[in-house]
Amino acid sequence: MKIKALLILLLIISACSKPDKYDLSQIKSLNDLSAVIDSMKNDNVEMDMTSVVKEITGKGMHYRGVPVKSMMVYDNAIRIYTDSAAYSGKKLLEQLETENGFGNYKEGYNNQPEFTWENDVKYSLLTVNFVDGKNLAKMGEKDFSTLYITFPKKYNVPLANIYKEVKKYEEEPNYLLRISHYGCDYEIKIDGIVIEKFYEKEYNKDSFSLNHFLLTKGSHKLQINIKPAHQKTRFKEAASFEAKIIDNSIDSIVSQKNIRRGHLYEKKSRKHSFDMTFNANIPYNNNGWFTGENLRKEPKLKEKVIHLYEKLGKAFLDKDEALISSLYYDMTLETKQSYYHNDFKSSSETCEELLKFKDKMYKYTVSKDFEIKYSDDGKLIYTTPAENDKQGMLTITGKGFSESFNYFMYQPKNTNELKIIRK
Amino acid sequence: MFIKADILLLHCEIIKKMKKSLSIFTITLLSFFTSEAQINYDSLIHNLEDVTSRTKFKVYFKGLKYTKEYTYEDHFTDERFLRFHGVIVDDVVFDYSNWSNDRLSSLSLKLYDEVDDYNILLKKLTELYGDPVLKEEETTKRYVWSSSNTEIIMKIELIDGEFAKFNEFTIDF
Amino acid sequence: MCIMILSIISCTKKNKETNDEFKELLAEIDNKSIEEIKKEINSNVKTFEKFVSFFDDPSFKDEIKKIAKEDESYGSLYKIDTSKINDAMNQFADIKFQQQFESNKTKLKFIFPGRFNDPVSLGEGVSEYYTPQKVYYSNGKTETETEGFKKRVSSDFFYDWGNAIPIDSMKIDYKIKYITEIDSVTLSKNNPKVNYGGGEIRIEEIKDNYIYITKSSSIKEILKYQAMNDEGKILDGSSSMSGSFSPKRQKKVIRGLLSAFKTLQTKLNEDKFENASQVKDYIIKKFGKLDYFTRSSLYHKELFYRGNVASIKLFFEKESKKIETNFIARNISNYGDLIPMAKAKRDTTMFINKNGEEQFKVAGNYVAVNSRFYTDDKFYYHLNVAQKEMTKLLAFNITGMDKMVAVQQEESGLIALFDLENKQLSPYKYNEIYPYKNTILASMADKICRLDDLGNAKIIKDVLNIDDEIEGMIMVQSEKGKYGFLNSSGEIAVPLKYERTNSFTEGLAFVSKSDRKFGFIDKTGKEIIPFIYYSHYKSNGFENGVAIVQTKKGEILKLNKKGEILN
Repeated sequence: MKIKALLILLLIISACSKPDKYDLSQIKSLNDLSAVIDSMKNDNVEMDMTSVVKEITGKGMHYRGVPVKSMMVYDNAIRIYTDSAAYSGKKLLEQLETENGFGNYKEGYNNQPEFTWENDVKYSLLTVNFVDGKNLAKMGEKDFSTLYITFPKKYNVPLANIYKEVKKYEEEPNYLLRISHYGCDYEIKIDGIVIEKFYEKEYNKDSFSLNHFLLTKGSHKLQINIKPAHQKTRFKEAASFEAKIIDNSIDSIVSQKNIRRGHLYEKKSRKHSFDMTFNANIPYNNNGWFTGENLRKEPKLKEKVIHLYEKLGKAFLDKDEALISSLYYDMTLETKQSYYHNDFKSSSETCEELLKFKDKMYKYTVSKDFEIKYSDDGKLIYTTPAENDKQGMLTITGKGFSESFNYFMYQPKNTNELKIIRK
Repeated sequence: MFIKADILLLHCEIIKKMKKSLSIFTITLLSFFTSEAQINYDSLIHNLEDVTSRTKFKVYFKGLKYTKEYTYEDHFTDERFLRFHGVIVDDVVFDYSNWSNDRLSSLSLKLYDEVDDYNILLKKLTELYGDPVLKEEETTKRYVWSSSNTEIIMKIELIDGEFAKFNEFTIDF
Repeated sequence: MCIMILSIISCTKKNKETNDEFKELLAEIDNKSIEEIKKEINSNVKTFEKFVSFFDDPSFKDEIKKIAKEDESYGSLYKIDTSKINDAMNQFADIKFQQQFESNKTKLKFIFPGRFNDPVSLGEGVSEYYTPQKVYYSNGKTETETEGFKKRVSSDFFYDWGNAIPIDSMKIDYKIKYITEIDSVTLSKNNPKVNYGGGEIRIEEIKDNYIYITKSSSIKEILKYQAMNDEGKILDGSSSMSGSFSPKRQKKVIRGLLSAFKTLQTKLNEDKFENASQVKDYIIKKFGKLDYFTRSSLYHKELFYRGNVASIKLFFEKESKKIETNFIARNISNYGDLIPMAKAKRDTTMFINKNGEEQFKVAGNYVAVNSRFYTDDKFYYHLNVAQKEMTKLLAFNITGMDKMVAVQQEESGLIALFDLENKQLSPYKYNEIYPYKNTILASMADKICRLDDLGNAKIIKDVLNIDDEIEGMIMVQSEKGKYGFLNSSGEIAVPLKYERTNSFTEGLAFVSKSDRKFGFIDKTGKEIIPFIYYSHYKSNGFENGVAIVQTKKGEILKLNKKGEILN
């Protein structure tokens, strides 16, 4: 009975009110946009597409029911203005939050509230303009909004679609190593892999993300080697060192070590080492270099390293998007998985950055003289050029453009070639 | 023109079932009407008087998108979800300046410069914590309320002896 | 036609009593075919219509309304400001210009010493005039500019300067005219009419924030309008409009003109005229009668203020003075034998010689690094003159000098020198190249050397660090930390023996030896003012012949260039 009454009610209402025809929230690509504009042209909706500023001012547009006053059209974006009546400004914000969930918020130019949402279809930026309202908690009837929607470029390579492969979990631990020290130089190893070398550090506080080196759930060992700062032979009296491993997703300390001041000086040692073992409760499983060959036994390692960097340099030079994508795929997927980044924008930006290099460069050089550092189990290697002035194993150069690359590599079992696996 | 959406908002399951058996015409209308806001904004309001030194920012604002600016400070800036004793708060900073302790060291509130809000706060805080320690100068007034585990500092600026704007509002733990 | 439209659009146009515009209209018709006339009228009527629609837009003009006292905004008294004249007359020590070549024409933009490359801005009542006198071309020829020369000296935009011929430098006359005495008349509600300068000025309407006055055209130009409220406070202006018609008639007159043009347009499109001279006769007959061309000789001005107008003061120039100087402006580029010129919508670059004659062209649009090396967004190039083509170069960076280039292959790599034929002159061994006005220096390992045009390097003994060139002297520092100076040819002019130095000012530098006693030396290193001072005071050298120094006891002394104490 209730349902029948509702239907009749709706039919009556539908007779009195006619919903606006063009729902701009349904536009999911530049093709959709063209189709909507064509349909509006057929219906003689008022618009000016001929001048530099392309604007549609006719009636009939709405965004999920919120009336739209006008829309401006750009190369790969649109800007929508609500009218300033009947709480349109407030309603558009609420519709966008219903459509996309809560967005990122900040106060933009002129203290106007700005909300952003990004997904694999469009990036939306909503700006609220107060007319008779005071703030978001006290919005006025006349407040209106501007919604700027960009349709990002889509790349056709697997690298661009990595976000689809990244899994999300209930609990997403994010392990961070936080160091606070005075008068020390240090080296950090995680599970036998050097992730931070000794060098003259300016900051007394530092933090390092660990997740991308943690392949599975379980026990992991962090080893820290400390030396006196500035290559001195003895620690200063005030030298101290504190390390904490934190799960940043819940702000809790997992393991910590504190060497008080005076302790290092009293020991009169030239160096000091300690371990921190902790339990990483990570939900994902990255293969990483787990099934890698022991590269200490590899006789042609040097040639293989050069071969891989040459392959990458040539891929940039030949503008071979497919090859670039495949060389970076495993590393990118595993790294994004370890930080649970399953959003389109993150994948898209990484992909775009890597693919843009090919357009800026016109030559590459690979360092032939380098040092190889092995992980404790020999499966993972990292190489650094021997010449001081070279910043990376592979350097790509263009007009006023230069970029250098150094990667961790491993050789998958039963294969003959090295693979890039971490940065 | 539109009947209030509340009347028409039925549970989603019922509507989904209905949708299957109706004509396209009415379906369009139904989805049009049911596309009214479904988020219950009121239930997301956070009353900052409930924050203690043990409150974890991420947990407290779970479900909302917050802005984090510096390593030892967390900011939340959406005034729709912030209140302090009923007064609207523009933004709040959770300060962990001594991160070794992993405790909140203070909360800084940015308030809107409304004389009504000032009066409400003055009345409420005096009610809860007793008379404040007042330091008055030519163009400013500074109130401090102390309790066993917190200290609330409210500083205002005056024009012609009357409230003009808030200068500072901090809750120290 | 364009003259017609532009003259209407400029709202602050001066009054013209004669039918000059009518004559100009007729002159436009002469020497044009009927087809050309038709085309012009058709396109210009459209623009004209759009402009006329402005008059219908209510936001075009300010509203006449009463302004509340608290919303009034006040201005300041009108005063002639001659304070910047001295700075303006002395700003011409080093004026340069940039020359652009495109489609066989050239454009110039001038570079002044101001922060935004602009000249000293002058105050109220002061105006300046630049008149180019003589142009020295790169091919050695000179040209004296005739009277009425219309080329503009501007730092804002590139302006037309005739045919594409490279210019080395030019002599420009500079004149400043400043008002020395002003005259004024005041009008108000109680005093709405004033006779002045052989004519009459009258308030036609004065209401709230609005005032409308008329002036006989025999009276000279009004310098400034200053409105006051009933308390005598000077009000801030909001907007103004002026013209040869009263506000009421303006709309009607312009519409009249528009409809006359439209009628002409229809007749032209219907081919009612056989030839251009028939069009001319029609125009003389119909347009000659129009109000627009037979206007009265009054000047009408409407003004809106941010306050309620009670009276208005009008200022006139009574007496003025002129001062003059002249200067040489130089081209920022040193041209070689081939100069690039953009052609065909910038898809092609044509190389011209110093006479402006076309030599050969290459595809693409380039910016010169020097006379033989070029660049665009993506690459560097060498111009191969024999093959008449651009050779792509894959370097990280190429810096150009007159006779050679410094090439860096990688960002972290060393620099080598190449000549204009792209032949390598030196190995890749330099860390950095420093081109100065008359010399080129380079750093290599721990040394500084001087380069000649063939890329030969001569190490400058003892010098480790170098600094900017000021007044032709380059400050240098030795390994031991002592300072000295090189002259502009890169030779040691002041030996490196000073503990502390300052740059040269007006030919002298304030330096000290190891005992921390300062004195002044000249550009040959000769000690001119004895080393007895402790420090400088506020400025580090001479300004207008005076330097201010401090003794150890804290006394502040003013010295002249001979070292004599002035205060």
